[in-house]
Amino acid sequence: MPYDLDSSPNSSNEYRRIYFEFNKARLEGYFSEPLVISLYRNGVKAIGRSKKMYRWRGLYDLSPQNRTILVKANGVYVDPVVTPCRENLIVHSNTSKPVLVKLFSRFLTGHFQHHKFLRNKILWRFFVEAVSRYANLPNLFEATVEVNRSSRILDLSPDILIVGGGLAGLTAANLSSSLGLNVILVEESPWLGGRLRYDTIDVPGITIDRSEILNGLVRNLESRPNVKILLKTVFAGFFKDYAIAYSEDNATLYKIRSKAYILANGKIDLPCIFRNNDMPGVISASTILKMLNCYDVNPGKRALLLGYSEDSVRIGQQLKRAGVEVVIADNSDIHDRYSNPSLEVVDNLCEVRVAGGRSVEKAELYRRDGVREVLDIDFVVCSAFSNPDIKFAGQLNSKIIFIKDVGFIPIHNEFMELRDNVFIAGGATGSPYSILHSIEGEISALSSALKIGFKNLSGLLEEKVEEYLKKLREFNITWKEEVFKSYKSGYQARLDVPVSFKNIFISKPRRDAFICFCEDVTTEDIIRVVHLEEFKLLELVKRGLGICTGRCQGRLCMINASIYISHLYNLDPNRIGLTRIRSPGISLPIHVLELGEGA
Amino acid sequence: MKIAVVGGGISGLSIAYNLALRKAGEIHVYEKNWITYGSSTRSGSRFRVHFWSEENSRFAMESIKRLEKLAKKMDWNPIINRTGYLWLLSSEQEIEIFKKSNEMWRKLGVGGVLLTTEEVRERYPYINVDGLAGAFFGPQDGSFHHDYVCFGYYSLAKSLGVVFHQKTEVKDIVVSGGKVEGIKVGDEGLEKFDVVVLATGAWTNIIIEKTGIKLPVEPLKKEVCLTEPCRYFIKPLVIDLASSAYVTQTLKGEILGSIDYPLPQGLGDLETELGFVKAWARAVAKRIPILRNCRIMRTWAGYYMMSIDNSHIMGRDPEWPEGLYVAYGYSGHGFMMAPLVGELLAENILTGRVDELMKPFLPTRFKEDKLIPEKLVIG
Ligand SMILES: Cc1cc2nc3c(=O)[nH]c(=O)nc-3n(C[C@H](O)[C@H](O)[C@H](O)COP(=O)(O)OP(=O)(O)OC[C@H]3O[C@@H](n4cnc5c(N)ncnc54)[C@H](O)[C@@H]3O)c2cc1C
Repeated sequence: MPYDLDSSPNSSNEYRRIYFEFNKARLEGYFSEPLVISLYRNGVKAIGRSKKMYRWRGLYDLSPQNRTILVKANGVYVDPVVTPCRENLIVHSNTSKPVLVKLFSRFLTGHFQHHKFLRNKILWRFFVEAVSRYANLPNLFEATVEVNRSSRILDLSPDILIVGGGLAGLTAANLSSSLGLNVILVEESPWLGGRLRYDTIDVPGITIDRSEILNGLVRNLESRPNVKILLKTVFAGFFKDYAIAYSEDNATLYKIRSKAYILANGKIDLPCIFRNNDMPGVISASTILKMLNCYDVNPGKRALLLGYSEDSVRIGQQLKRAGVEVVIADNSDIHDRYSNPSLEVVDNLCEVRVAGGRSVEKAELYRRDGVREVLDIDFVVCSAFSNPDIKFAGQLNSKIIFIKDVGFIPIHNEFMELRDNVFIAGGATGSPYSILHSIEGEISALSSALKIGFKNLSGLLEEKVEEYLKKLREFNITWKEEVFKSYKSGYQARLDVPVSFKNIFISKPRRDAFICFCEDVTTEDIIRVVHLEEFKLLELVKRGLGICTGRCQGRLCMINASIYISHLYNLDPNRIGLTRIRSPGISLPIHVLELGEGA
Repeated sequence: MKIAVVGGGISGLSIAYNLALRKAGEIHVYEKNWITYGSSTRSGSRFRVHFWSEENSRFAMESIKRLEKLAKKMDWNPIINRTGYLWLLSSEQEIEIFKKSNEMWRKLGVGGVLLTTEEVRERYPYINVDGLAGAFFGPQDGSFHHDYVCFGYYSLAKSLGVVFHQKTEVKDIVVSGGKVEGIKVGDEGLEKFDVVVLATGAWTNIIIEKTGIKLPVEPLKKEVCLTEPCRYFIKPLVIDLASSAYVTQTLKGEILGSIDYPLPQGLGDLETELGFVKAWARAVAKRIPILRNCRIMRTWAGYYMMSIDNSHIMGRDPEWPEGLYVAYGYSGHGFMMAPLVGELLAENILTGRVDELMKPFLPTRFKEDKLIPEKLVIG
């Protein structure tokens, strides 16, 4: 049972030991776990190479929406994060680096095409030839066309579509289905529970029984015929005529027309910006927790955690319990250390550089006072900054504002309304604690039901909102006021607020500190176009460099690019802005799109 | 002279640069969002010299020459690449049309080749030739990078002293005594200008109609699909005339294309439709089966500004208020025309001279009934 909190890979039948092949080596994994996890288990961290510079790339995050690396499995290009490990799977990845790239890698910067000498006709032909031949991209002719017999397109028309099966989504599903509404919940991972499944997100001092809450909710939902749960299915957002979701597992595309939508798709752990931050072994915080608590993988022996916060301390403690040595590093002055003094903290950093080959091996920490520390490590955890997933709010053209110390937040009101029939709840709103997430789940469910025509619920809704506002005051979360106010009146950017960003660990632009991992764009490239043309708008920087246009569609780079430019020019990120987010939110195979209806 | 260029797309940028190059005086560009925001950043980035009408063919030929020359001066490499256009033809009738046009093109020095299906299969093994009767290949055609071209013009114009006002919408044109007096920006009062050039693309009707002028031009929404990048293999732009689907590949590896799909006329939202994506997917999967293995990553929409004869409009009508000029109505192939439009219009504004190439495209052609029917419109 995927949502059984106590299951570990060894205790369940599901998880059979199997053998597979990676670049000719025979490896052992567990049946149906993601391929990247099986590889990590075997110590294979460097899975592939990047597009332009052929740098090593490995697992950063377990979300199927990033698609940062592709490998060939049984002849088909797949994302090893979504592809389950199977008996005798033959996996192949491009690990060699062309000689030409080795020789010219100095020139392969994001702004290389702006060099004047390239306008020379003869050189130009050579360059075009090189680009077309040497970019590390899937070669369609070397792959078999994937024909999944079960692939099809299905229509769904529920009353409420809920995106995300975390606490907020489950609570919303529970409440709305108890009213008799037809509910469909889509969840991209193989289990329900979201963060609750692998982390505690409680207010310090208050603990909840995670498994009891979760199992209770799931039991309720399973007993109701008017609830349908689609696991391993990624919501891909809104087109004008349909909303869509796609399941890689059975190649099914869902065309959705729902009366109301609830976005409870949580937060994204953004990469930290430091030197060689693209190296295998640099991993997002939530992925580390999933490794520990869901897949039973030991992430390593010595960890560097970037960013000091309640969250990272909690992760540090969990790692410690698993026998990992942990150092937490932060870029500001840490005065109030949270509980547990046993975690080593290095603060006041101005620069971090990691080094290694196929995986990180060392970290150099530079403090503002000139002290330099070198650590032996074998993985880095990016736990400095997580931002609500703004993809769908962006697709819907909702206003998204930057709030100091919180991040980019899609603006909504206290009824959790984002736009006529679209509501938002949980981590996706930027709220920090599970107690808030479950109230937001309830409010969004009541608001949706009210929209659909359940007029008698308005009293209950008012009560819930009252309770919610009280909780916000209790936890001293004042920035939400600003969000609610902006929803009513429109936001006026304050243009000169100096802000510090928790995930920036470089003192100046560096050609080995990456912003965009799909197109290999570094902080130095960014600064070139910003300087060259005074492009202080992300829309223009995007067009100049191609950030936000790679396979992850800006999921990992968009916010980082905006805050990095803000950081350099000491501007409010609201002024730099974000870019328009286009549909579909994940890429969809043409062999499924071409199918007829109901096929 | 004080000149306001309204619109920061390729037309506005090219006009502003050419004016500045000729030391026209004080030049201001007004753009309501950011430069390139309109159709210019949403285009397919392809150029061709093969048009139905001789006027358009000549214009495009000269325009591309201008761009190639200018490329050497630009800070941004416009990535001009002569990859060719491959028109897939499904009937003898279509072949006849191209045969006839090819004679005209040959006279202009840009003749192409007609291919049999056998030759298509040999030269482009990835194309499924089922149902085809032949093809036409135009080797003089190709691609550029739309954003880099715009930024190239922008940075040249800036260095020549053009003042850019981004995020500044022009609300009205003030006319008095049959003469342009200036423009109104935002809520502020009158900004005085001797000349106002409208290069406002799909939004031109909103502003020009305030002065009482109406031309037969309407915006038409168009959507585009883009796949995940894969190893470069589709060199030319491939157009399947029967389904009107086109496919091409960028140097970054993405495959880009569109198909004629019923979309509303006029300005509206720029959201895209799943129905469109499926229609394109079906068409390309049939024509280039290997693309079944590829994934559609992104879609976007923009406007073609369609004039009734599918040809662009530039210059002025002597009956209009003095000092008012336009450059719009490109009908889906404007990016490639803009380099020359900028040059000829700048000259026209400064000297009054109407170049031979420009003459057919004057706005007066509609009332004089001298249309330039253009039947080769893609997408
Ligand atoms: C899907 C698609 C594919 C295309 N493919 C090609 C192709 O392959 N090759 C080709 O040559 N052409 C192509 N085109 C056509 C080409 O993009 C356009 O013809 C060209 O970009 C028009 O440029 P423009 O500067 O006239 O207009 P735009 O680029 O639309 O610029 C107009 C600008 O004016 C601004 N503006 C409007 N009103 C105001 C105001 N009141 N105040 C201030 N600013 C204002 C707008 O914000 C906008 O930025 C394509 C178009 C589309 C939609």
